[in-house]
Amino acid sequence: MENKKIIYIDGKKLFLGIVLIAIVLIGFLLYTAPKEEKKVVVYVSHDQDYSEPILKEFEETSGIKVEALYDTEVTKTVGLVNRLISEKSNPRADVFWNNEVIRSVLLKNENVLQPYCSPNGNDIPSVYKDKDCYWTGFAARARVILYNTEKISKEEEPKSIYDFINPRWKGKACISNPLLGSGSGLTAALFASLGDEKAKDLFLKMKENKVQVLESPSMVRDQVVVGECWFGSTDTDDAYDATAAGKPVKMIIPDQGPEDIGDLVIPNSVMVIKGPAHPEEAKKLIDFLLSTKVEEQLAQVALQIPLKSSSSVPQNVPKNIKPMDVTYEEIYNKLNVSSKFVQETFLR
Amino acid sequence: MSEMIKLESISKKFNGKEILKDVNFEVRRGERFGIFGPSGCGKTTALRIIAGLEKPDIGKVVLRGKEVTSSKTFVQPEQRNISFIFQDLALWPHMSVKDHLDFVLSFRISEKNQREKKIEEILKAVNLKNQLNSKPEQLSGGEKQRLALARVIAQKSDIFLLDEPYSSFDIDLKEEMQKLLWEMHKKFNLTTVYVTHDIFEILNFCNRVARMENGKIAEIKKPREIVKKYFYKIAKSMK
Amino acid sequence: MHDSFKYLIYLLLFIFIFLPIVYLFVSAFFPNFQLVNLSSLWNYLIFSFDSRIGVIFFRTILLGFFTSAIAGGIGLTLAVLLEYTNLSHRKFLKFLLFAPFLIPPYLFTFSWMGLLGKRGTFTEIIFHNMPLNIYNPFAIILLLSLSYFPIAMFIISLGLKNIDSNIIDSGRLSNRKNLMKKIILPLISPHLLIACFFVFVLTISEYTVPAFLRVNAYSSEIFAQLAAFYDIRRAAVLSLPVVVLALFLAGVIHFYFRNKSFTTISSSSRKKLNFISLSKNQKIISYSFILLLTLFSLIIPITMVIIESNLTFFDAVASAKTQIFNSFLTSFSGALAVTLLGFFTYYFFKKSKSLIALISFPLAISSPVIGISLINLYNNSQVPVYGTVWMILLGYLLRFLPFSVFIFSSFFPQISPSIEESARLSKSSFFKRIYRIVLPLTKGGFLSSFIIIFILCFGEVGLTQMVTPPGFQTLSMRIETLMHYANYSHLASLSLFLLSLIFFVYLIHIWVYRENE
Repeated sequence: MENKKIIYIDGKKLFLGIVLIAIVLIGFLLYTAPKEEKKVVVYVSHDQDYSEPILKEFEETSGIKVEALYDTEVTKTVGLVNRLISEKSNPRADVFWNNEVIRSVLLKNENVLQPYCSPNGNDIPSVYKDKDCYWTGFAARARVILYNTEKISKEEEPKSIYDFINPRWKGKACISNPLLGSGSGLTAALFASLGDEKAKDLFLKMKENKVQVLESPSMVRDQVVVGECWFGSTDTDDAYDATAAGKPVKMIIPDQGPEDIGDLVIPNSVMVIKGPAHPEEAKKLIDFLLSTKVEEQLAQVALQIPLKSSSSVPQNVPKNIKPMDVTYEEIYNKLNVSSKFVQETFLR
Repeated sequence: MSEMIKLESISKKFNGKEILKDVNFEVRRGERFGIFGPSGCGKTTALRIIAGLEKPDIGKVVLRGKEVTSSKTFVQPEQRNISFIFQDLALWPHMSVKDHLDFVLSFRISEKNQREKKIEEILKAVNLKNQLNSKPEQLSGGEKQRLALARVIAQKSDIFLLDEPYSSFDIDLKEEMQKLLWEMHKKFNLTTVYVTHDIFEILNFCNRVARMENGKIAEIKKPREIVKKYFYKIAKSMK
Repeated sequence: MHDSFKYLIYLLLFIFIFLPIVYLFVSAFFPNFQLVNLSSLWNYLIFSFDSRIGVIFFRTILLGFFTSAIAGGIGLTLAVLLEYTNLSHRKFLKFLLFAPFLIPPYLFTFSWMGLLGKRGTFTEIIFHNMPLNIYNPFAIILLLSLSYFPIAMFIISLGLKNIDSNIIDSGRLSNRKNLMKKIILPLISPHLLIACFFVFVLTISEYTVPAFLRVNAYSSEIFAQLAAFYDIRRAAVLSLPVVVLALFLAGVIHFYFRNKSFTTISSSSRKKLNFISLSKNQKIISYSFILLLTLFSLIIPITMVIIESNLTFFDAVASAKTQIFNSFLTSFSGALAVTLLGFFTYYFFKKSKSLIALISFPLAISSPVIGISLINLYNNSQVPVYGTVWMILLGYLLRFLPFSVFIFSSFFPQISPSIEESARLSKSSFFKRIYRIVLPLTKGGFLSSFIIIFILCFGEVGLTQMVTPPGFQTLSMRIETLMHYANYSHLASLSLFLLSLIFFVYLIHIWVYRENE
């Protein structure tokens, strides 16, 4: 008979091995199970790279453990908003740190939130807060036009949303997906500001003008940097990443003329989830996030525009932006109709 | 109680085809009962029903005076105390000769030394003592048969079921194995049910035979009477 | 004990597989579990399924159909080449050609976009202004075919291996010319159909690839309901046609094959068959075909990832060490749980083809919807799993159980039933029989299942993101986040780490498998 080298695994030993491994794993899983301690559970839509250090600082200064769940803006995922709605009957989060406002309005309407008027929110203009204190805005970004300086000269620079339908720039412009994330916010804001018919007309003309639709504002920035798109609509923090890295791009706050519609300002917003497991800790976290220190920190690292009157504004952060003449509730009210239009007509 | 095995009105269908139709027979203690018939007549199925490896659609099986299969009862195979030699022997390829017997004996002899002694005794009886550490793939055909036999002996049950155990053997080997089986049968006072399609095997071994045809028991007679018909056919064809 | 344990497995399958999905659909059609009047339910359905949705659904079915046809064709060709011909190094080639399946589709697409996309290397260097456009359905079909052909090859190979060599030999002796057409193909037709079914279901539920390539597929529609409209109910309702279609196809396959008999191998030793002798030219063509496939499905994607990583490998890995540890933890536990349940599911229900189809239907549902179904069920239940890592394991069970069952289906037929029956008659207890007799004989299946499921869990992202507890992040989630930030170098570095780990584990599997074969 051939001499074969066989690794013989005794069934009994294999079985015992499986049992042992299962015990060890159960031990690990118990170790990672939620523990009773002073803590706050926060769902975070803001970029993890910027938000995580802030939350760690809160942890160190307050002694309250922070358990954070991060999201991405564009949500190629379904996002924390859906999760919060799904968890409504048995909430798990205490605080939601949203990187915009419209979904905060949605959550209020879905009865997911409870009001909290933080004392640190007193010096934030009322236009950036919910009137009943369900959510409070801070540290904003704005939609900008980023253009490639090697493709477009200063004299030709695009300054308005209407430049996206200028036949001169046919096939040269790009926007982020108007169905998702901050792209959907801008779409709804245009519907609210211009009215349904004019907004639809604008988007149809964009489609005719072969405006490219990309997955996220970051990708728009990226395409503009390499010159694949000559200009695009993105956010201040994404644009700042490119300008700070010395790329051949320039950022413009659009539609700032006296007759123009103004720009969409997108604050971060924080809110308490209804029925939180750790209400006091939740309030402390919100107070911390609405502090001057945090706003200034976000202004430094991520070019977020401070909204508090007590916050100093760094040199490179855009100031005195003329906002669109619409409230966030009005924008929210247009979210469904604008998204439907985009899905059924624009993106088809 | 002289009836060890009794089948009453056993019927079984597979995929709409009737394999067994109203089969009735009983096997007395100490008998060497043969089930004879062509391939596909339902012999193996009948055997598997006795062992509890199949359930009949209708009918009853009584073992040692107790109902083990009926519309209300089903005793699991492991609780029937039955030994079975399968057609393909069903040896465990990863276990040595010793391990085979050790596995079976471990259920009734907990003490290791006693077990080893018993293993030696059984292997001596079947003439496999020199192959203690060999795996099935290292054994010859005859040795594999003896291992299968040793395994069922180790089970120490009083009912033996054999499903065409020697169908692939030559005449000499067949004779040798049957002789061994005969010795075991006598020594342990077994009740044996022997399924085959070979007329010489039933002639050599059985003392009563049920002839099956198309899922039914055609007749139950002594082996010679069954075989007479076949000799007549053979003789006729030789003319 | 045997029956009790069988019922326990039934119960576990019901809880882990059927209950979350059934709960989702029931709660979608009957909100708050109240009976609604039929006309309002009907109106809601009409509203949900307009002509636009119909067109997209049809487009997606076509995508699935063509992908399964191409992947099935490639799988069949490779299976025959690797099982029945005299090509050398067939074992090595088998393992090599299975590897593309282990690369998560989103990484696969990312690497191809890096080559041919708008900012792609190939596009920039070779054809700066080339109109090459990979953002279309044909690219999806091609990419998914390259991603999924290994699973087709694997399933069809099972069929070929399970044909008794005597059947083939008798065919060769009687009519060699029609052997493939009249004997082999009919015998493996169940496997071929099941392979195509699997690929079809995986294609129609895949959402990252159509999203990256900007094609509006049905999965994107479902996704948009969650991401844009936050309408969980409508997302569940829209998922229903996909599930019904998958169940229908599974039912057709089961119905078609229920009365047909297909030989399985006997318990006696199996001959290795390589009866097709290829000529020199035929060998050259075959090797070229295999090389081309390997190039497009493995070498190019991995090379692109290496190029994109831009020497930031160690920084990227250091920044993600917690996520890497978490991935190990969840993938290890997930693989163990899925393998154990997969083993017992196949053990008890191998004769039940309909059950195998039933546990496969969650594959037709996109990962985020599965995530939502788990949240819906466990958030409101008294069972304290929500908000823990257990949720991720439950997701893995739902998603990967069919793969484990399929892997075991390649090992069990090689064991004659009489081997276990003889142990039963020796009065052994059920558990003793399992670990003394069955386990040692199927240990190859255990190892294969564990390793493959481990790899699949490690790369899984859609479902994981939905159910992960706060404070916990896996490597695949980190990669997904970097994709959004367009941090390509870190993304590529971590992808490279992920792929290296996957292939390292796969190599262990190959080594152990070969040693034990």
